[in-house]
Amino acid sequence: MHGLKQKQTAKTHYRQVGEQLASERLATMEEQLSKFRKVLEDFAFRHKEDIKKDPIFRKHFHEMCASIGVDPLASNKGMWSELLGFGDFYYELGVQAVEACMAERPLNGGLMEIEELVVRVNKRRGHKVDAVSKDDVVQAIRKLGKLGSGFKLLNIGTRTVVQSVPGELNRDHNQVLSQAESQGGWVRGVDLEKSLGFTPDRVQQALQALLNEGQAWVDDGHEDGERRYWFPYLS
Amino acid sequence: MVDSSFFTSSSGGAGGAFEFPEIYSYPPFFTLQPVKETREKQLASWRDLIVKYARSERVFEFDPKTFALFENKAIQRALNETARQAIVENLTERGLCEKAGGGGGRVHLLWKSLSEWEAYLLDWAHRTGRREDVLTVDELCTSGELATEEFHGMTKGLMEKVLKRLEKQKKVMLFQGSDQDDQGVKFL
Repeated sequence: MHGLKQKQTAKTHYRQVGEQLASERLATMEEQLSKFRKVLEDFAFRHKEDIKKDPIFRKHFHEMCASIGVDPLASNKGMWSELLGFGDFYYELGVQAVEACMAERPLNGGLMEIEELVVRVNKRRGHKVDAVSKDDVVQAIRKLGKLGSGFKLLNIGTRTVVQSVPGELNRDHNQVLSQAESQGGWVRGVDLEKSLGFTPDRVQQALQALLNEGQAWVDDGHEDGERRYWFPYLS
Repeated sequence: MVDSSFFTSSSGGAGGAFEFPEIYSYPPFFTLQPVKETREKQLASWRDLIVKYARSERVFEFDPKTFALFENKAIQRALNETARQAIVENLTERGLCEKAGGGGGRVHLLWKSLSEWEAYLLDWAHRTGRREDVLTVDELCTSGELATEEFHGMTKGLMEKVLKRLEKQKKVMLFQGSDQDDQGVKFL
């Protein structure tokens, strides 16, 4: 009986010691983290201009922030955006990206390659301000995505494509696009049957869906008599 | 990667002064698109191209069946009959095309509207002191002296159409010349 009680006391003791250790470690970590944040803030403040002006510097800065779980873009009100004016910067960039995507939507069905979007966004921003980089636009699009705007980044073959229409590109569509991307921006039904092992029906369904969404143009003019499906943003 | 100017500006082209837009080398541009929204965009691009081409190359009239622009040999693509008709209809709806008359399928290409041509001709006659002069329609269209005028090279059919409208407004007088085929015109 005594032994059992002793055992229990010891257990409680160990638990208390364990908890104490854990909370001490947490305190130390919090202290370290807050020191690190402080350093990061000082760093950001000192290099404010570089961060604003230089896209590459900005990219590294973001990576550094991400590694300790600080998101300088998270809020428009926070210290970070006040310090750097980032909130406005990415908000503005997001709006410009949306406008560029909207303007081209009738032509490309709401899919645009990221490189092209960067060119268009910089055109919209004009020459008076520093050009933004691909990384900046990617950040802006990710932010838009979080708002549930239907903006998404897709990987099609070797390209990164911005999708500005809500809706899922299903797996079949994605495979069709990858095939088209690999052969220069177009594809025939028979190519897909061969390479993907799809039935003609399945191929037609995927191609028709892409056509209906305005993402593909048909070409019946080739001498082999086979209809080709072209994807403007992939050629 | 699609160049940023893919659908809008011009680059490349097959020699000559006119620069063809990039979409002119895009094979599906020569197949009438089955999906409505895409087709509308396609027809708008054709309309834009034809008007710019006609203005630059002084094309006043064409036969849809044989119009050189409707075929791009470099990429081995040509529009079929249905597509040609759709484009002409689209131009006509917007007042950029009009049947040339005379039975065939030829159409007048109005990169300036008929009333713009009326104003242009009147202005020209006043500006160059041709009022009260008698000219032949043929002279107006082809005279080397008038090579810098925008109506130089206009087909006789279209010129007569414009002049008849001016005649109704009593701005010109038309009369049969000595040659059976040639009409005379006097700006009043």
